[in-house]
Formats: sequence, C-alpha cells, structure tokens
Amino acid sequence: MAEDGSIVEVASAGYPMDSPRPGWAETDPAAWWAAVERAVKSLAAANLSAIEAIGVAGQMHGVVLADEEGRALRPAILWADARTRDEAERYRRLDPSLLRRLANPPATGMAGPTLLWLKWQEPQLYEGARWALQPKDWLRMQLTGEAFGEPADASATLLYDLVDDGWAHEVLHELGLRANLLPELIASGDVAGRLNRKVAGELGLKAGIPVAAGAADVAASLAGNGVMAPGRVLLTIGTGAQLTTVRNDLQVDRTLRTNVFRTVEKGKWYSMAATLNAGLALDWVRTLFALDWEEFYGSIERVPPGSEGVTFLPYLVAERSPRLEAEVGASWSGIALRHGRDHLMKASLEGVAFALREAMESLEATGVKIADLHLAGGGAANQPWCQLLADVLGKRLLAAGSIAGAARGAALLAGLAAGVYKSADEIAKFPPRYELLAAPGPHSGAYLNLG
Amino acid sequence: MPAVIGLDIGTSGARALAVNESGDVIATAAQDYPLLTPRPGWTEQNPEDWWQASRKVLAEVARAVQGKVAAIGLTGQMHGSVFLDAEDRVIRPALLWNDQRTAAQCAEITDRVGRERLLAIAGNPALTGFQAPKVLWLREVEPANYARVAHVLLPKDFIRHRLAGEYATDASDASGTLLLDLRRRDWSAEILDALELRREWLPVVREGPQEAGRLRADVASELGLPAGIPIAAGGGDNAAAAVGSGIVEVGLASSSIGTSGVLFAYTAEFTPDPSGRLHAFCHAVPGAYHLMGVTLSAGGSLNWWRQVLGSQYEYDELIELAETAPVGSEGLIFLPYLSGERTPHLDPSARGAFFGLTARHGVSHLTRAVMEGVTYSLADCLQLMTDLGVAVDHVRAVGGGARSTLWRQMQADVFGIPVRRTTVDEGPAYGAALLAGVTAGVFKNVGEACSAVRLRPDFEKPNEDDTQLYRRYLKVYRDLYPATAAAMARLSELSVYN
Repeated sequence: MAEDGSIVEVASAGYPMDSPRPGWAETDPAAWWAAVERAVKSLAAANLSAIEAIGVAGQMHGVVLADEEGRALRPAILWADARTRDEAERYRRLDPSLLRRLANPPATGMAGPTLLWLKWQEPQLYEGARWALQPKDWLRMQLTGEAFGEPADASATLLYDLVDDGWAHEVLHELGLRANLLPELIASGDVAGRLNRKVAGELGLKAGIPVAAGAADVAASLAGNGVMAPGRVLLTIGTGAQLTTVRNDLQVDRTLRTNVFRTVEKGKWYSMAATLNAGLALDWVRTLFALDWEEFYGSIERVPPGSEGVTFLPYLVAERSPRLEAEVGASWSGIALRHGRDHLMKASLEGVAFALREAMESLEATGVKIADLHLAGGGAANQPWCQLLADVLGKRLLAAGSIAGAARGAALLAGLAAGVYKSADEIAKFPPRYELLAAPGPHSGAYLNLG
Repeated sequence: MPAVIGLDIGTSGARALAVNESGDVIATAAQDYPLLTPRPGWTEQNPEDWWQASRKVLAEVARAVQGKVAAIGLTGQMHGSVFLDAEDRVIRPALLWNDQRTAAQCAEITDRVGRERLLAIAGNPALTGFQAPKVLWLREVEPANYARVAHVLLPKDFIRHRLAGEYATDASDASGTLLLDLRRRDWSAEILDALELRREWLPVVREGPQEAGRLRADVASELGLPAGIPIAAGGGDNAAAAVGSGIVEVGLASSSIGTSGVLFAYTAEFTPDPSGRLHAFCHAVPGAYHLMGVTLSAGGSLNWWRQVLGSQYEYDELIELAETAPVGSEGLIFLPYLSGERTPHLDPSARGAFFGLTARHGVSHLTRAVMEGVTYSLADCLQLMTDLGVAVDHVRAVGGGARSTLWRQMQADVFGIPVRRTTVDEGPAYGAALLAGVTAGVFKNVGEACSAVRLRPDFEKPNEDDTQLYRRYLKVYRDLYPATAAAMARLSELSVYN
C-alpha cells in the first residue's frame, strides 16, 4: 500500500484447515509461515525494497502455544474448533460480575476455553509453554522475535476485561490459568518490534523496519474499509460471515446473540453478529458436487426463489451467534424426486443468506439501524449471488471499488506505527469508494415469507 | 417334458420366460412399450400395446422351446383399470397403478364404505393407485365412456381375455381393486353396493394356480403354441414375485429394492393393519395371505442421488464409495421420502432430507446415508408387521438392490435378520411360470413348485455390533419425520404457489 492508501500490489497464498477429529479445527502455524513466504516472495522486488513498515492482521480466537523463541509446540487450535463444550460450560459457572467484564458469551473456539482445554487435556505442553498467542501475534513474533498482544484480538479471547481494557486477571485466577502465558498488550498502531535481519534477508525486505501490533481481522477490516465511527455496517463473507458496526459505547448484548469487541482505537468498540457457516458451507457443497464457482452460482438463475421447497440449514460447523450452543448439523430437506443438483445448490446459497439475515436481525436488535450493507474486502463478487443476498436481506449491497480488506487495515496500522500517519483520524481519511452492487428486487417479498 | 411359460405385463414392458420341470429358466424375451403421461400425475398405457408386446414375447419364447409348452401363467402390474365395452373393445387407455388423479374418488370411497369397513373387508384404505377409484373417476369425469363399460379388467387379465376369451382374475391381483372381500376371496357385495358398481362387470376370481381359461386355437397357431393349453390364474406382480422367490411359508419375507421398495411377508391368516399403513392382500398361494409395506423411493432414491452427482459415477463405483463410510455414515441420516411415502406414513407431501451434515461428510457418507435411509424405511415396514404379530425370521433380498453385497449386509444389520438370495432372480414372470407348472400338473402344489427355488449358499448374517448401532440410528430416524412433517407440508404448499 502506498502512503495515499492506494494498493500497489497484492499477493496471496493459502493453507488448509485440518479436522483430525469430528468438530476439531487446527492448522500447523508452520503452514502459515510457509504461505507468508510464498506470498511475500511473489511480490515485485522493487516494491519489497520500498517497504517502510509492516502491519499484521489475522483470524481471531485461536491459540498458538509457543516456546521462548516463538516455536509452535503443537498445531494451532482455531476459531472453528468445537472441542471445548466442557470448558465453555466451566466459563458459564463463573461469577456473573466476572462474566460481565468479558462482555461476551462463553463459546467454543475462543482462546480462553481452548487454553483451559490445553491445561486439562495436554498439561505437559501447557506447563512447558512460554506463550499462548493469537495467530497473528505468533506470526509477528516470527518477524520481530518479540511477543506482544493488542486489544482488538485480545478482546475476543474471553480472557480480556473490556471494561478495564486489559487482560482479565481475576478470570485467569478463577480458572487457574497462567497469566504469564499472555503477552504484554500495546495499541494496534504501536511499534511491536523491528524486522529481524535473518527474516528480512529471507523475504527480501529491509531489516529493522517497524512492525505494527496490528489487529484482529475484523477490526482491521473495519479500518481497511474506512469504518472508524458509528454509521456504516460492514458485511464480511469469508469462511464465516460477520456483520460489524462501530460504536462509541461498550454495550453488552443481553440476549447474547452478538459480540462486542475492541476496535483498533481506544474508546471505540464494535458489535458483531456472525455466522460460522458462510463460505465454508458453500465451498463444502461446491466440493461435494465437484463444480467450479461459476457453475455453482449458476444455479441461482436456473432455479426459482425458494428452490421449489428445498431448504438448507448451513450449520456444518458449530454456530456461536445467534445459536450459541455448539450444536453441529446441517440439513437439506423438502426434497422431492423432481429436484436436482441445482435445487440443492441454490437452496444452500439461500440457506447461507437466511443465516445472514438471522445474524443481521440480531444486530438490529441491539439498536443498530441498518440502511445499507457495505460488503467488505472489495474485489470481484458474483452478481446473481449479490442480488440473492440483497433480496434475502432486504438491503442495498455496496462494495468498495478497490481492495479494502483486513490487510489494507493492517497496512494503515503499519503507517501509524511508522509515523507516516499521526492519528486514527488520519487513517479514516482514506476510505475506499463504494459502488452499488445490488438492491432488493422483485423476489425480496417472496423471501420475506420463506425466511 | 414340455416347458411352462410365465408372462409379465410390467410397467415398462412385457416379459416372458420358459421354465423346465427342474425350475431352470430356458428362454426369455422382452418387449418395451410407452408410458403415457397426458397430464402431471396421470399415467396411462394402451392395452393394445400390452397385447402386441405379449404376442411378440410369447411367440419368441415359444420358438425357443419348439412350441413344447404345457401351460402359461400370467402376472403383471397391479391396480390398473382396463375398460371394455360390450363388444370387448378398449374404451380408453388404461389408468395405471401410479396414477394420482383420483384423490377425490378415494375420499368418496372412504366416505361411502367407511374407513374401518374398508380395512376389514378389503384389507386396505382407499389409495389413489387402486382400481375402484379409477372406475368412480370414469363415472364422474368421463360419463360417456362410463356409459359404454361392460367389463373392468386388471392389466394381466385383459391379456388373458385376448389369449383365452375368458373374463377371469386371481385373488391376489383382485385384492388390488379395493372391491374384494379378502376373507371370502370373492367380490364384496357390501362395497359394490356402497359404490353402486355392477358385479357383472368384474371377472370371476380364481386361486393363483387354478386354471382360468385355455388358449384359443387361432391365437395358439399364430404364436406357435399348442391350442387349448391351460392358462393359470396367476398373480399380481408382488405375489407372483414372492412365489418366484419362495415366500410361501410362515416366517419368510422378501425385501425388494427396485425403483420402489417392497417388504412382503407371507401370512397364513388375513391380518389387516387397522392403521392402514401396511397392505393386506390375498396371496397367489391358495387360501394364504400376505402383508406388504411399500417405500416409494428405494432404488429410486439412489438413482436420484446418482443423477444429482451428475451421473459421474457408475452404480458400482457409487456403492464402492458408500462402503468406505462407516455404519451410520458418521451421524448422517437420509429420509427417502422423495415421492412422499406410503409405508409407514401414508403422506404424499412427505419429503426427502439429509439431516446431520457436517464439514467432515463427503460423497461417500451421503451415498451411504441414502442406502441406509432406504433400509431404515424397509425396517419400518418390518416393524409394523412385527407389531401385528407377524414374525419374520428370514428375509430374501430380491430386485436390483439385492445385487449389492453392501445393501444386503446393511439390511441384515438393520433388520437384525439373516438375508439370503435366491439363485434365480427373475421377478414376477418366474413365479407366474411356477404357478403355471402347478396348473399343468408338473408340480403337485405351490409349495412343491417352490422347492425349485434354490438359495445361494453364501448369505449375510447380522453383525451384532452393527445391529446395536443401527438400532440407535433407527430411533433417531423415526424421530425425524414427525419432528419435521409440519414444516415439510408448509414447504410443499409454498413451492406450489410461488
């Protein structure tokens, strides 16, 4: 990213999520590092040598157990992991005054319950570990050799006191968790170390450039999309999907259907309604039928709204919000002999859209007024899919005309850390331009009944 | 020693086969004919097409055995209605067993006869497929055609009339009209009166192996068969198939997986199901009865799933894939109600579903779940029989599904009963030939004829652990239909109106 907020070059590399047992979700952090190497090395050498600062953003809630040097002791346990029912249950028995400070309902897949699982199930590893890090904090440690955390990610661990804005020491004590596993917290836009010589050499970057603390992907995405104040509602569709909006107050959702976490800026929070089964469910269906995305989305135009009575519940992995129980189980139902693959595919797209509508309604229930939805990330989106979303959600769908995701937010934070920008207000000056993708059309009414 | 011929008037075509005195099939012939669907839910066939196909296959088989034939046995698709006028001309295309147009007439029959009387006399509730509502439909919708009616025949009996000039049927096929008094094995005056139908339109009712007509000389010479050979009364396709697989004793049942699935159990006594979810019929064995449960989409479910997958797998490949998934498909259950369901729900708006999908499931799990769902549905039929006091201790697998070792083992495990296969699986035509063998005096009775039915030495025994596990899955399966029926009915309404 250039100083004016424009994107110069983009590279990406993927890695798998492993499920060694039903309900488990893990990735070896070595795979993250390998992907970072592949992605960075594929950028133009001239661009690499011009880089003045690095920011990191990453998936939330996970845990990497690491030693003093930052070496991972076991595969990371991820947000989608559902093994921690008992541990989440233990959380629910905490004193209500402590729970209130966490501001979020105990749920599987979050760092706190996962750490408790590690303590109970893998005590040797747990006791021998030096650090319990968030995924992007582990990655940053590979760059700088130093361990730090920051509030955006930390506030989503269930180990963070959102009222006091720091680690929740009483909760840690109550659960018997080691506070010294958690790194010191600094601001998202602070310098969290400098790029070490060895890694700089490997990646073709300048040694010693500042590395910003960075942020959780959702918080970074808000920044990257220029959403630094209340008003806009971002819709992010990845493996899961989130609806997020910034607030000036810390408001806990008493119905426990939405989460509230810290933004990259002190004194600001965001509310999030999420479903874990969005792209994950669609990709599962697409893979089941061994089709490419174009054929998959093509079903939207081949089958009428409502898929002639076929419905799909997309809960392939355990949901957190608005369904808080870690119950897994998707379904296709309403199938008749006349229905074919297209019906099953379109029903799955509609099912994900309905899950999003449920999430949206839970966000509205916290007092958020939603005029339009801003699709985070930018880039190409399938038009019929966007139209289906607009119809089911009953909102206009806007998208950034340029790339504006979590990585852009991380780059803006890097600019802050390097002193290129002086304040968060300055970051907000570079919002991407939004274009209308789709508005609710004639099918919107039918979907209102089907929901 | 001359052969006997079995002739089957199926839904997709006619099939004839010749059997020698030791029960071996020595010649076969088949000829397809079209299925007419003039409107959605209507299914018809031209009886003349049946006749042309029958002539062709009979002549072919006759040639193959040099005309040395002692008797012919008839079987065919049940429930269809052939309307003949006083000159024996076909008035209109026949309405078939899977025709859905008669919902109103079924309600009328239930109303006029009374649901309980109907079950007690005819062994079955009024269902759209049966013959009687078709006659009422003709009266109400096509009165000009109705005014010409002089005879109402079942499909195979129309062919008998062409072969022998006789109006006759057998008790098992006649059970599919809803007009038969099953206990007396003759037409029910009570039902005929209630429906204001004329008994003289109906053929005489015989027992399966009884003679019911002799081959006319002109037809015989045209087909290359001896004139005057006896024609066995025969049986409806299910009863004849059961004879062909030896289901002629107490404790035996057959499990047939074709497009639909049929669980067929022999009963010595008339044992109607007061809930109407199982069919009770006369058997083609004199004096005997049978119970039958029908799951509408059995092999049809697997065929549907294969098409959903884009037909990229052959059946064998698909079943091999299913074999790689564990018992219970890792918590996945398929409800096979793709065409609604007959047994045990009697619910045309029931729908199919996959429940319990997780990110770990793939094609192998879903495929196995489809096969398991069909098997659970057959187990539901078996359970209803057990509840009526009809104990089944041996199951014989027949039909296309019987060719899969996995599906047979699955049935053994889910039923908790050994599953065997016959060496010959030639369907209804084979049973009709055995009945003809009794008529011709080759066999003393049906029991002796069925001693020609041999079993394969290897068979599937229930695996104790898998049976236990399936028992738990079956509990969940049985909870899913009632838990979702209301939503499914709402969905089927919504999908009609949008």
